[in-house]
Amino acid sequence: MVQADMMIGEQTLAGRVESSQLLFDLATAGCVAWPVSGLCLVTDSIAPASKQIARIDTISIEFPVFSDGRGFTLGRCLRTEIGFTGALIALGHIIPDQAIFLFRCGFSHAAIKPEQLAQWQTALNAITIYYQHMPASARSRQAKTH
Amino acid sequence: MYQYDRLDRQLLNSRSAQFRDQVARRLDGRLTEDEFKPLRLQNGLYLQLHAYMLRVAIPYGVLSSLQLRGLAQIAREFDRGFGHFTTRQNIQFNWIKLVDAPDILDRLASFDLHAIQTSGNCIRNTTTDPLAGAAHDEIANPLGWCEIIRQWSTLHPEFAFLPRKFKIAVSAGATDRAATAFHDIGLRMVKNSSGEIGFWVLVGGGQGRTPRIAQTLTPFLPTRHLLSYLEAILRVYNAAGRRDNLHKARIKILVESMGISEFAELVNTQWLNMQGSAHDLPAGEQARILAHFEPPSLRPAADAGESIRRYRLQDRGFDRWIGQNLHPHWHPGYVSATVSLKQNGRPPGDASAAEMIALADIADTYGRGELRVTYTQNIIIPHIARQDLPKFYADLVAAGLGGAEDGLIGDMIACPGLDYCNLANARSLPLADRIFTHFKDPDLRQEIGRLRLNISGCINACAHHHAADIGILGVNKKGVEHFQISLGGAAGEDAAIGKIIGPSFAEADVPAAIGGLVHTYLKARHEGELFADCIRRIGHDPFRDALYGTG
Repeated sequence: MVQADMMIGEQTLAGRVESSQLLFDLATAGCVAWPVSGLCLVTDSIAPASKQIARIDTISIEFPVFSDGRGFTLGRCLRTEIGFTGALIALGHIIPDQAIFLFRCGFSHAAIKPEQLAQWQTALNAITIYYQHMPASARSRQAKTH
Repeated sequence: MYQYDRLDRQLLNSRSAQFRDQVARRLDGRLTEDEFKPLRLQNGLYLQLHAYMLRVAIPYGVLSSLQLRGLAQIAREFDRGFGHFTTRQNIQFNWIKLVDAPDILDRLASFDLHAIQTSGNCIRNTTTDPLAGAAHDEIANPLGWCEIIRQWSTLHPEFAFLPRKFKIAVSAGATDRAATAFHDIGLRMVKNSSGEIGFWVLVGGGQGRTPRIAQTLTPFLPTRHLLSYLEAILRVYNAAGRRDNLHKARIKILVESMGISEFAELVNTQWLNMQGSAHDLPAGEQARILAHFEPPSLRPAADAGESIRRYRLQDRGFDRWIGQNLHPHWHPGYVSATVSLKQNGRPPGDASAAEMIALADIADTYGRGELRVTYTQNIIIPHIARQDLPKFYADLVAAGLGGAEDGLIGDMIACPGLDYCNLANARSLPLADRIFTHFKDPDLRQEIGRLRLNISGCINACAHHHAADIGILGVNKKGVEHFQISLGGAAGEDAAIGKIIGPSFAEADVPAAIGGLVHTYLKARHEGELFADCIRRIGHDPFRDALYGTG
């Protein structure tokens, strides 16, 4: 959902990610190189002019605390309503147990602590069945079909 | 009822294995308690005063006899031999050890039950009319739609970390038996002028410290759009609901602060944005789920009128029970019957393992092996042939469950209160028992007639005291448990929030105060006039005078 009155911060990732953090690929369960630049949204921000945003390569969404679920809606709206197809990175306080939710809401990557890599990999494969018949996004797993 | 297939089972088993790993990580310190808390809550595990409590989801209150026997086993092996049925049609086990929780979830999965999202800031178990599919006044059977909502809301990736908990209720009877107006979303099945069935969608109801009656979001939503519309509502709430103050985080506050028309506009805009994308359930999948809820084929029943009249004359208990605990069925030869879990000395809603097994047997013998948990913390066994009622009743009596309390003053809803809950101000259970003792004469309870009395141990209102004829709320008055009385609440299609009648009472004085209210009602009522109607006619003053004098 696009809300005009919300703040948007266009910033680099500097200061938002610790140098030791890994960029975890939610599709392959491996780690990849950090992008050089991109747009960073705090969870408060909701995408501005959609056409501008759809052209960006990388968008990061920062979760202030893992229990603040606005980022899931923001991510899903970027994918399904704005048509964003670039890299979508989850930053901030997120936990491995959210891996599948992040992935299914359209996040391609998560910034994680190196010591949690194994937990993220395990969590990503914990549940492979789901009920929601969600709109096809760039990346979707096995849906429950009959 | 819905029958799990391989994929449903696979999901539960994976979820259970995932939780086993989470518990292990908590026990060895890899997860902090702050991080573990939302994970355990979303698996139904609360930390109460003395132990962990596990809340098991009973989807829309429907249980098979096999599942009830399984729950009885869990009560015996992992609890102290009891289960506690709740207003949300769930069951709670109050004496659980954290290390046992993964085994219990595995056991539940073995008979197709789970504890997913019975707690936490997520979409909770959907509730409905306990007579659904067996009622005489239904527009459609809501159970299939409840199952559709259950599947959609289970592990929904976008809505697992909402601002606050979220409850949906569905009702399809002419009478609303699911308290839809007191839910975050209430869905009432209705027919439009062209005979099409849809949902009248209500939003923003709730109880707690800010009781609100839900408002109409749309008077008619075609059933095929149910999931996309729910998704639009949840999306608006997840993005815009308050997260800065726990007490202002429910959707009722959002709806109230922006007003229902602005909220409806946001939802409709969101919904229109989503059109064209596949948010609605594909027709084939919808048909597959609804097909599980075809009406049972019931044999034509013999006219049982004469034999039942004879039994009623012979047995005062049976006579009372027949008069109080039966519900009309769409098939004239059948009924649904309430099994009362309210007795002197029994915490409202409690059932022992032996009782659960007895009820499972009775449901197999006389019904369709299916039971319902009610909003009022009782059990209903649907689809009983009238001619079987004398034997059915005799079996209930043998199990110690022949009480004729349905809807009477003894049929109190009470929360676990300070005996278990760390939120409570006061003990609800002993008070419920004192009130029962005060009205110990069954003839008196019957003479008083239908009267809903609910007792909540704190302002969170788990026992729905706001929606009762007589509501009792536990408060803490200078360190001493006191109880505030309110009058005039109602949960159905005439939903109303009760009004506080005056200063609170010490526990010992409450039964006499309730006695005073009842006495005032009995004196003032016209013939056949219900408590709620009497209050509407004469107002609160005579009741206030009875409690506090005319000064």
